[in-house]
Amino acid sequence: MSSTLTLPLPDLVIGSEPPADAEQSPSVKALRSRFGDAIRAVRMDPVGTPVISMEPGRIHEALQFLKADPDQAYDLLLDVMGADPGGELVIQVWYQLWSMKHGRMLRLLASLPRSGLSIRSAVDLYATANWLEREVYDMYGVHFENHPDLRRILMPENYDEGFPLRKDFPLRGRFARSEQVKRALNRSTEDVYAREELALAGLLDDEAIAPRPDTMHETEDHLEGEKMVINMGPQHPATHGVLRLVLQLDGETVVRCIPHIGYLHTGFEKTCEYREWNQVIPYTDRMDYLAPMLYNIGYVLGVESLLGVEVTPRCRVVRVILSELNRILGHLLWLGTGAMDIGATTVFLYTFQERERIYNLHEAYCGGRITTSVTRVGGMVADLPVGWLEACREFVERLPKTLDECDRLLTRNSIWQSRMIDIGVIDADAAIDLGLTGPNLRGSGVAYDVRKARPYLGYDEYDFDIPVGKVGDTYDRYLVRLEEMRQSVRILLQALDSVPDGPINVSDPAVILPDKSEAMSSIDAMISHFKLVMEGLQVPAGDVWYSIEATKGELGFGLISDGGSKPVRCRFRGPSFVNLASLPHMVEGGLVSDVIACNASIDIVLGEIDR
Amino acid sequence: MEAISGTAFVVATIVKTLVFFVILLLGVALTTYMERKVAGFMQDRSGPNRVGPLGILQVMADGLKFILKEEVTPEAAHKRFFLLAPVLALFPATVLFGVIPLGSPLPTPWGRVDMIVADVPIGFLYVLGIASLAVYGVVMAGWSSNSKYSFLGGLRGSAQMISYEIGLAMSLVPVLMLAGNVEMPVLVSMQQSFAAGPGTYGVWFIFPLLLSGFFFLVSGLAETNRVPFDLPEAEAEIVGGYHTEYSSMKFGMFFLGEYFHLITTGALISVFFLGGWDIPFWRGDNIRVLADGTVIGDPAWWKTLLTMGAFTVKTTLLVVFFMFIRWTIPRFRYDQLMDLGWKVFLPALMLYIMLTAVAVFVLDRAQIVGPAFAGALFGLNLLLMLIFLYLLDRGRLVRGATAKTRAATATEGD
Amino acid sequence: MKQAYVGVAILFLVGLLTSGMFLLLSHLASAYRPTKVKAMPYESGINPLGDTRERYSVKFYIVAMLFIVFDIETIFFIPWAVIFRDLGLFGLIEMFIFIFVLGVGLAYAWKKGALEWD
Repeated sequence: MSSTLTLPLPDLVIGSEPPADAEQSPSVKALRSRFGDAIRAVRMDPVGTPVISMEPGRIHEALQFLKADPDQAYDLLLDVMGADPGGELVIQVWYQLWSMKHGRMLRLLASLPRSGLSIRSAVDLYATANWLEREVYDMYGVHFENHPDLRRILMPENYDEGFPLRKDFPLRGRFARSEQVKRALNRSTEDVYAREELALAGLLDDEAIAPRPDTMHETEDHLEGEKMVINMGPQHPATHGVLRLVLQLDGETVVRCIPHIGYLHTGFEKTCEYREWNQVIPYTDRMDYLAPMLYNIGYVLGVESLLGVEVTPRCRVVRVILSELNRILGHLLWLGTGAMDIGATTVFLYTFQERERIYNLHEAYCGGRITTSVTRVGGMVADLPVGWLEACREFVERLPKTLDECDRLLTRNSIWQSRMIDIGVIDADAAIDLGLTGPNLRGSGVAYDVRKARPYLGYDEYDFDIPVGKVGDTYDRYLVRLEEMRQSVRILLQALDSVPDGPINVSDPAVILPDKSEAMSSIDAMISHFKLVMEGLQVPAGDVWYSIEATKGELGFGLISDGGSKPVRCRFRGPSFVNLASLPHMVEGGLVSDVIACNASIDIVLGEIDR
Repeated sequence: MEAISGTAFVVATIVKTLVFFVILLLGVALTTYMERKVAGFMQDRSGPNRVGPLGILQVMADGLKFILKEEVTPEAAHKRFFLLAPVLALFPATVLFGVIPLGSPLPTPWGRVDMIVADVPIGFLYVLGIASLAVYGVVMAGWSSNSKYSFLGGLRGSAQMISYEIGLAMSLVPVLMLAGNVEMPVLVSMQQSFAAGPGTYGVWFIFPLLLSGFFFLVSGLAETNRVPFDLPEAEAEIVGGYHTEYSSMKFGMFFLGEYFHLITTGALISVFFLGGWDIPFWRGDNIRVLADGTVIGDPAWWKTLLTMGAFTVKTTLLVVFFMFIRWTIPRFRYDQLMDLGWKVFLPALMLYIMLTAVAVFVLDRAQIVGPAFAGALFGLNLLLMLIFLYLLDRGRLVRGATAKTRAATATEGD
Repeated sequence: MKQAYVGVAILFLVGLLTSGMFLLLSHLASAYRPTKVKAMPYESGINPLGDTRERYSVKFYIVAMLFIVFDIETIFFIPWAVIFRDLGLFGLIEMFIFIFVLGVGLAYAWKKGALEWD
């Protein structure tokens, strides 16, 4: 067992001991002593994260302190999310922080009155806050002061219907369908470009938003050519979905890159507020559809932590197996498409063969191949079919052969190396600042993995390593993912050896539907069946920010319950969303071909970015 | 036997042109089919298998589709150049094969028919000249479409093709040194196996001019715009490159042009370095036509067929080799490609030409001729090749990293 | 040997005819239903911003100029290579000087940054 991780052992164990008193947390003590007058309330959330509710005006100051103070060192801003708890009173803004050094999680909470939806932006402290705050602005209309680029992100720039995630916003939008269609069709060219882009193309005489100084060297005695503004995407073979990058090119050199997202936005988070807790699960499939079960599992873990339910030992191991299978599923797709973007077409088909085998396992288990919806709060949709574990083992044992083959085809290939080494370099500090998680962060040399830092599903019982890169270039990210698949195989082999017998679901009748035969024969079972079906699962009031390690990074779920059968807020912190924001940092100054290599190396899935 | 002349010559030429052209067209059609089958073979799948037996009629279906699809011309396109570009892409590739000797001379009742469409005395220059025309198709397509992706592809394509044209021409200079001639049939007769006599070497030029062959192969591959040199049409980066805006048969002509080019490149490599239509280890096909018209060796119709078969096999193997390359390795980046052409190939070729000149000069002074001459040069080339590849590799392949070395050392180490 | 060019002429004719036939055939046989959106230049589905045919980077012109220089030098190589063995030592030394000059030119262009593509 390696000892790479300088992180202390985690002190958060899901669902077992009751969370300790929040006042005992060193961060809370420090904040009390410095910002005592600004703290409104302190409590502990179900997974043991201290939640500090503060005066909105002091939040920025507190963040500054928490980041700079060596005893706190909250260097990773995991999430900035908005929430409308209802009642037309306040809008909450959550800041979810993680300290690499101390292995501590903390949540700052600002409640903004509807009359003054304004708070100081944290972009100057955490670069990752840029897109996250834009999303809060887009969805709730919270104005972030001093934000460099506060404009809509998921909704179109000229969206006039308001702020969709507010409770007073109707599910189907404010305008009639015909009006929405009319507006969509009548968009002019200027409507689909940001003002900065119009300025780049020389179509806007506005001194206030002059284009940023070029990142490339200016050779004074060269006659500079006109810089071309070109759209890469949404309909482009290599943007991995409907991602749009507006590139300003000087010849082949990228001077400026502005990503546009939201083409796939369907308002999952809004819809989920109108669904019962278990009905949310099918929506989770459709976000990271490349590794759907990880979303299924992460979501129910979050709800279970609110419920205080602990799943059966068999369920835990099965969830680990499915998690790791899906991690391989996601990484294989990344490997294949990444190689194809760089021109190595054959690897794509090799990896897809293996993906088909995983999909066959999906199908054998739950009937679905891509949209699995395999979990239920408190357990799984069903127990494993007979022979499934053997089929899974067969797959796991043959996978390394394919991995080795791809490894041999690519890793030492001269062209592959020259296309990847020292391309899109992000060093460790920048990676943390940008909020990268998952293989992207580890490629930059930071050994942060939720499975080790805050083990869930008993990941601490498995023997596996976390590969980290050294330079943080595209090649390192490639090597890290390749090795992660091998580590997943290691975990899978251990898990397959240790699947315990016993029930897969908890026996709590308030959580899980009773067995059909029982419901037909016992009146108690019949009643609980009836209640669960008619009223839905009742989740106690509370909120939680729960995260797991998905293929693309840290997948967070911000859940708020008011004790009813539907979530009040269902926030999905998709890792790709945050990771994609780092693309301009990687590609500006590089070549057009590097954009493709970098975009591939970030490994995004537009389903979870746009939601 | 006298060469055919007069009216019979014209008739023979027309017949030859048409027959070869039809064969070439069929060959191109088969090559597109073969490409997909080879890709299928390499990627563990079956390739086309629905239209006709083994999917062979897929080619016809594709051709029909090309013809029947709607022609779209972008509104801001320069109409005339937009139409001319596909013609310029296809035309040079089709006429290039005219100077390639395809087999040993065929004896007919009316005289000897050379198995070459146009036995021009400047065959070599014709090849270089016509091959360089292809760049106009790319430039025109890129510029006239008025689409940014096409434009980028056109710029990339022109820069790449003209850069590698230098490599293409320079890599043939050593061949000319050995040949002392620019006629294509003479080049073939010099390389015939076991041939003896003045001006012959008895071995294929690939042996005495190994490095030259390597440069020509790579430059030729770059001229065909295929992986790893497919940047002008890199679909992952600039969608379709210079032919983004083209549809129906206009696109089909770019597509066909690429496969024509592929076959001609294979044929040229065969002629310059693999003995053309020579059948290895057999003296029977050593038929030479001297400049004054005398024929050495005895031509026969079956020998013509056999030699043409040998030529086809060589060309096909080279084409399959190109396909293997395409489905194996990734593509270069624009600057890396240009660096390879200008900073590696150009200086290396200049040096190589100098070294070959010295070697030839010294060997001539030492009165070494024929196979011994070729053998000495082969030794030199083998040495140079090893040095060149070692320098080019810069320790990547030989002492490369596996996924483990860089990623996992960090895990195990501290 | 002049008559060999008859073959070239016939070949050119056949080549041009084939190209023309392809164009004509597809023009006659294909559907033609233009719309405004169809005639837009492709830019990933977004209305393009600015014009394509504007002054572009000087780097591409440099490639063209370098090509002209070096390709013409290459053409000088060819006649030399053909009769090089008859020229003897004189030809060898002369070409060394030529290549040396060429090499200096390349080194100069390299040094001046004309071979920097990114």
